[in-house]
Amino acid sequence: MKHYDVIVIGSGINSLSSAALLGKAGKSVLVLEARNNIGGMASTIEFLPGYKCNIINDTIKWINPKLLQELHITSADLQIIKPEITHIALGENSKHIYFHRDVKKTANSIKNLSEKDANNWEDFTLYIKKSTEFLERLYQNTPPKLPNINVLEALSMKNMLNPIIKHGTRGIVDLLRTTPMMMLEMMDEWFENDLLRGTLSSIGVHHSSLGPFSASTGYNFLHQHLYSNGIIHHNTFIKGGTFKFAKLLKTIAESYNVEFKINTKVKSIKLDNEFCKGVILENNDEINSSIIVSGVDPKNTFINLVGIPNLNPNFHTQVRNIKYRGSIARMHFLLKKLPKIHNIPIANMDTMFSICPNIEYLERASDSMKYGCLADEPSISFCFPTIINPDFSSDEKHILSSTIQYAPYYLRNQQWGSETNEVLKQTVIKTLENYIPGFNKLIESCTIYSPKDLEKEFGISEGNLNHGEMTLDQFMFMRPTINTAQYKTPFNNLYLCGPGTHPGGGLHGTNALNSVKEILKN
Amino acid sequence: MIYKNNFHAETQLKLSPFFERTSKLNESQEWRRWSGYLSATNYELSHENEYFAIRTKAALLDISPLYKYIIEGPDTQKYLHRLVTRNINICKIGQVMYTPWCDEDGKVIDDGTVQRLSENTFRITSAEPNLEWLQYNAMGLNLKIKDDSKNTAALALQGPNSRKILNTVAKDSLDQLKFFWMINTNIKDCPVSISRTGYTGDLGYEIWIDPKDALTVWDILLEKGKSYGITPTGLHALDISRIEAGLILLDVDYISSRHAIIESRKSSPYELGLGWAVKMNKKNFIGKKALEKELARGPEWEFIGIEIEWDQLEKLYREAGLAPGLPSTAWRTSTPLYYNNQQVGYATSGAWSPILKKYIALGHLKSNFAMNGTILDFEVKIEHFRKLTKAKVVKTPFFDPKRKRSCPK
Repeated sequence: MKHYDVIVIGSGINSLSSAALLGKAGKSVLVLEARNNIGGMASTIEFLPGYKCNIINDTIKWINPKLLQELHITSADLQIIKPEITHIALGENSKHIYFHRDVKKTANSIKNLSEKDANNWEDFTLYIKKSTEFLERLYQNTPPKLPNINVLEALSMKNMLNPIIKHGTRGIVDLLRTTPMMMLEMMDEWFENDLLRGTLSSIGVHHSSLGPFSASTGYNFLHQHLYSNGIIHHNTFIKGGTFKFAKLLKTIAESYNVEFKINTKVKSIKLDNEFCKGVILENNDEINSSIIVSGVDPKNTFINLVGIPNLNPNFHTQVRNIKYRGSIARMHFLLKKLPKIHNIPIANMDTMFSICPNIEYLERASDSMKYGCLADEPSISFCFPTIINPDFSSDEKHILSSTIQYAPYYLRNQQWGSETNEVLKQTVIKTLENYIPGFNKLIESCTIYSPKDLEKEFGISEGNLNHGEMTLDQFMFMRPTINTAQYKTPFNNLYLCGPGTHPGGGLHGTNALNSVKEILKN
Repeated sequence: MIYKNNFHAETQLKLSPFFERTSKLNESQEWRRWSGYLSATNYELSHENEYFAIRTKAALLDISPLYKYIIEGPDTQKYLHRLVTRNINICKIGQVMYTPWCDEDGKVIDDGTVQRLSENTFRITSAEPNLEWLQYNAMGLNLKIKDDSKNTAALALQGPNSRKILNTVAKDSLDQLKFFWMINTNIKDCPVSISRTGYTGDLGYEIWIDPKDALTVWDILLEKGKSYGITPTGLHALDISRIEAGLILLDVDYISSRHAIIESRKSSPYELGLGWAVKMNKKNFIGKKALEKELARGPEWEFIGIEIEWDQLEKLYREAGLAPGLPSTAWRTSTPLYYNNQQVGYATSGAWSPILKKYIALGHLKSNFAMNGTILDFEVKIEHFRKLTKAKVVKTPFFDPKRKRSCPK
């Protein structure tokens, strides 16, 4: 049996990036994927014969430029579609807001609703840009080990000096104010228009269980805007679907002789006195390696693969206390033809849409999280993958892919199943109908992924797309736990590289970059 | 989750299965609270006779308030091996092991005995409730933990005559039962298990009984034991004998790391004189990493025995115009220990040992001073004034008769 330098568990963007980077460093690497294809949350599949869609992520908010640089990925390899209109916030009476790549055009669009807000817009984008510049630097660093930071760790944070010098004390103060802030307060400081306040707040709660009246949603807002150069609602698409990104990483990895095994579920990690020796597969085969890199979430890694009996009590408590709280559902509609959205020209339909008329609407939707029920009026963001990638449909039919927030993983007094899926579907149709008259009649079929389905299909605990909530108590040196924030674990030779680590979720590959840096250090 | 009210308050102290008998025998009607039970401190007006029963005859103690847990299932050995500091892998069926167990920082949570009842069944006794800790560390393992505290009544029969009494009442002979082993047998058709264990440092046994048989067993022991001087005995006498035996008591000699509100109140097994019970050759157990480090740098404290010297003590009392005053029962007040006018430790429990005719105490001492023979100054209060008197560090147990471990030829 071949002995590998590294086994990577999982094949999402971070696992693939880790495999490619480690392969590039000359390691013999084997990637193990439980599903029948690689890609994880960057999967694009034929969900119905002849029709494709991105199962989870339609857009990519940002990719770490350093990852592209290290793996020599050029714009020819990875075709990123950057629509001029990045987002449309649907408003009542057809008064929509168009978010453009050009800040002045966005301000113009806002002007129809509020002159005051339009005047504030450019300042707001600069303010956000300034704060994200700090995070861009912070995200490049492995978090220090607390409470005793050593000199080397302190020195490794020196790249923070650049934004500190550039933006001064005021910049730091703004960052420290914004991250723990709730979206409501941020909006109160800047804007008056309901639709604008609502749609911006929906970014702050993106893939989170928190509502816009919750602390630290400001941080999530910043997290979504790294490398966006101040473009708010920064949505980009990948030509051919997000899976193309995963496929490209796989191709690069293979060029470094990384091996792949799909349909291969790891049952447990082989431990000998806190040393990892390899993995045991579901068919009881064993594969040995010197290092194991886990791209699956901390609960799966430690509770399921390492096993509770091997966790020391303090660490066990830490792992059990990680908050997941999956809160979104995905719904893909196959439509007989392209629908007509109130007052939106067909030419502008190649972007993301959102339904979140005001901030209170969003907060009420988030109440469902607290009470374990489905939101009566959910916040919905959607797009037409068949417009963005015309080859996703083999005929004139179109697909509408939507993200529904909030759909709590834990329902009160009921279980996720066909009944709840049907209720959710009717709620979504009713909501979409307000903006797309006749939508119901266009539906040919509908595929639903509840948080339970997402957990089952992708192995993400509680269906949380970030492998753990993006809150300040699970941020940086506390992500995923205070003892494992350096990508290392209490077990020798076992590392983490998934979104459960600093700096959190998204298809950006930063976790892998930092993790591989730590692995190669040892 | 919907809130369920699972809370039950006991508004009165619990009564042991033997209370029916002990309550009538307790002439002094002096009781102490032990784990929520009413427990006799002394049956006669003074505990002296009971103490001498332990050392010269046979003492019968109701120890039902002990916390008892039954752990059962294929993973039990593996589980306990990781939980406690002793090597459970070598614990045979019918064997008993005394052991502490620690938290991850190597600080002692509690101590007790682990009894192997069968291949996959163990009983563990403890001074405090431990169910939460036991269950928390059992997650993911194939075993069941049952709080058996109420379902098993227990008696301790301690003293030189204890074996003879049990041989007259038990179906099987106890002559070959070795120290820290146990057997299953019958007493008057009641199935019991008898372990050769105790908290007195003397020849003695502990009897584990179904509560419904409790009174039957009690009665036959008293009846058949009468000619051997069997004496119902309370906690005062027990406390003196356990100090003589150098045995520690939770919440008196040390504080469980689960309750200590500051770090310095916690103790490692090395600091409690239990280093012998820590098996570092085990692959892993809870607290091992921390204890390895502590072992490498040497423990800060040691647990020691001291003898308070008589002559100077007598002199101090004489100066106050008094005859020497000695504690009639064991005390448990923290008492400073000095070396060259500097406090270097504290005694946690002490007693006049009637059999050794010595004033002895147990205490914590900074490691640099913990050599046998070191002369310390022990603080005494004579007629409201604090004085210092000499005390010598000695090895424990203070009293260690051969009969404790030996079997008849």
